[in-house]
Amino acid sequence: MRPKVVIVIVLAGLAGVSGILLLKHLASPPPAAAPVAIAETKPAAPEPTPAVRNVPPPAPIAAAPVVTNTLTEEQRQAAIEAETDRLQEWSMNDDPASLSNILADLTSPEKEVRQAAIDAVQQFGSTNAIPVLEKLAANNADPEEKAALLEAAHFISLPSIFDVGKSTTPAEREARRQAQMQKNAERQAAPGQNQ
Amino acid sequence: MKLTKTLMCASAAALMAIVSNEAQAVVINNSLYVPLNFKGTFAYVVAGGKIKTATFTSKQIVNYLGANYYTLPAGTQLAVGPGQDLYLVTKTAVIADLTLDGYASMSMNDLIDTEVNNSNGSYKYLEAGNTEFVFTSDDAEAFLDNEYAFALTGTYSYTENGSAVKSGYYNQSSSFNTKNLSGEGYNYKITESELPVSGSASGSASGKLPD
Repeated sequence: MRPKVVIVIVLAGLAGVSGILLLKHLASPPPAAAPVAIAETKPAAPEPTPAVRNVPPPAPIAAAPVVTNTLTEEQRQAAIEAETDRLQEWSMNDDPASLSNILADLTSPEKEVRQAAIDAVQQFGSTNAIPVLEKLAANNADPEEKAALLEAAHFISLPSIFDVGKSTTPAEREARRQAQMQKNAERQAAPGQNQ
Repeated sequence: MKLTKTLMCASAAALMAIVSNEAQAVVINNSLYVPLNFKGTFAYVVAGGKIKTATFTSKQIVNYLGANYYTLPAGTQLAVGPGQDLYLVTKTAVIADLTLDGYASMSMNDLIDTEVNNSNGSYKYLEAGNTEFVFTSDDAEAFLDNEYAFALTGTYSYTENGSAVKSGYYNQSSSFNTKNLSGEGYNYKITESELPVSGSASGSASGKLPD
């Protein structure tokens, strides 16, 4: 009987110590937040409006340079340039993830990145971006940036020169090309006479 | 740094130098290509006596060329490269020299420039002048013989910052910007005459270069 009593006492003691440690852990403050990283820890995308609810969240960015508050100005600039480089690439894509990444950079803490995002969203050319641009413009205190956001929204709303005007059939286009090639041939045959 | 200054002197070699110092650009066969953000609007008359506008971007131009002349991999970009030509490039390959093929060209004419050299070896260079962009969708000399065409001119600014040389290398950042491009364009589907066009273009890059 005596060993059993000892075991019970030991177990009770361990349970008590564990409880004290657990309470101490819960009461302690959370660890300090990681340094701000504009490339890896992207700001949250603007709250989607009904028109853009199908835009997925920004895709994770691999190997993005970390910009912390402790980095030098040179390192910070390098990270900004890396992000604008990515924006250029995303702008040439047509997938929702790229659009989402561009829209997220519209709220970057770095003005250069935001400006590059405004350029990129116009290149991307999706009307899904218009409500986001208008909402950001409405909440933007910088008149210059506000104007740029509204101008971008207007630009995206316009049709492309490649889509407007009378429709033409492939046969009509081919006929036009043949005529143009004929003109070129004639011009080359008689240089200086058809300038 | 002197190399940079020399390059800024309004010749074709000058722009090539600007381009060759852009580290964000695509590096292919030891030449650098700087992606361009290019956009603009055409104005045209529609029924009812109204004037409307339609847009173009460098992405749309790339897509048009891909649909009609070239087989373009995903991610193909319009870029400025060697010889001040405009190219279609991916991250690893040059797809086409649009200037050589007659579809697009760009020029820069440096009118004023200034450079400040600091005692620590860093410098700042500023330049401004006139620039021109031309696009002819069918490589036709006569403007109206193309399906789509435009020729835009305007003023540009160019800024370049360089660090002190360390171990034979220095860091350089460059940015090009033109916001007031204007000129004429043509769209065979709208009208058989020229249309007013406005636009803008920009590109920036930085990188480590040998002294």
